[in-house]
Amino acid sequence: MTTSLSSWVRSVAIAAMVTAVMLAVIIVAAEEIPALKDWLKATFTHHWLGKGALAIAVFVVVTIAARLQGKTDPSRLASVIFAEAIVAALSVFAIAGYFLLHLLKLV
Amino acid sequence: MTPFLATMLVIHVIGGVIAIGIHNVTLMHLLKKSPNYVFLSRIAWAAVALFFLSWATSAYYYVTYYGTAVKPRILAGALPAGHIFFMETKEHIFLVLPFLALSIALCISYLRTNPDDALRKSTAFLTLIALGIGAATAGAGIIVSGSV
Repeated sequence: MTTSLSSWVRSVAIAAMVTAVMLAVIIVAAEEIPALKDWLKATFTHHWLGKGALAIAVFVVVTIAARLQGKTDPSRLASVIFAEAIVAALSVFAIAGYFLLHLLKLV
Repeated sequence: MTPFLATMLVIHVIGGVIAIGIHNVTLMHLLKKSPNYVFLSRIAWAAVALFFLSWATSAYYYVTYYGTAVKPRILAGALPAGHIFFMETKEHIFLVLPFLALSIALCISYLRTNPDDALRKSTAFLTLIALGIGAATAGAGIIVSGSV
């Protein structure tokens, strides 16, 4: 049970990192590449719904893939969670930074 | 705005604010050397549920009402940055939050049966980041409301 839970902790942390990076990339890319935003609208009825749906899909797939990967060393969980916090913060700064540049008409 | 849309908006705001408050309480407890993990895991999972509820209700409001009724008024008003920067940033950084909340709740559930000081500190740091994102999202929401 403990081993299983530690594997879930690790898998979800990795999935959250991948999802945060994917969101930052697709959000900026959709603003810069109109065809991508149009595809999101056409496929999901709204670009924001598309980003959310893709985020859930990536999160679920990566969680399952990481969970199936093998055993987890519980002593490394703290490092994985710390990395998750850093990656999430950087992704959010990238998103906010992009829209700040957009406001200042620099992109 | 219809009563149903107003209800969705109220659930979105109140659910999100309570979830952010829960992360604040979680952080305060995680800073203790021996937190009550039973209590913390209960409220951390409640935050997960509230963030997903807030996401679902905001999606309905945003897709069916904001873009046609609110966004044009903000862009034509005195503070177009209310949409161009604050709403665009808020609606997108929010998408990260439910996944971080899920990770925090799982960590605390693990810590219930496996107390680990290093993991407690990392989880506290992750909760601080989630709290910062949540506070920024709420603050941006207030500015968006004031920009209409």
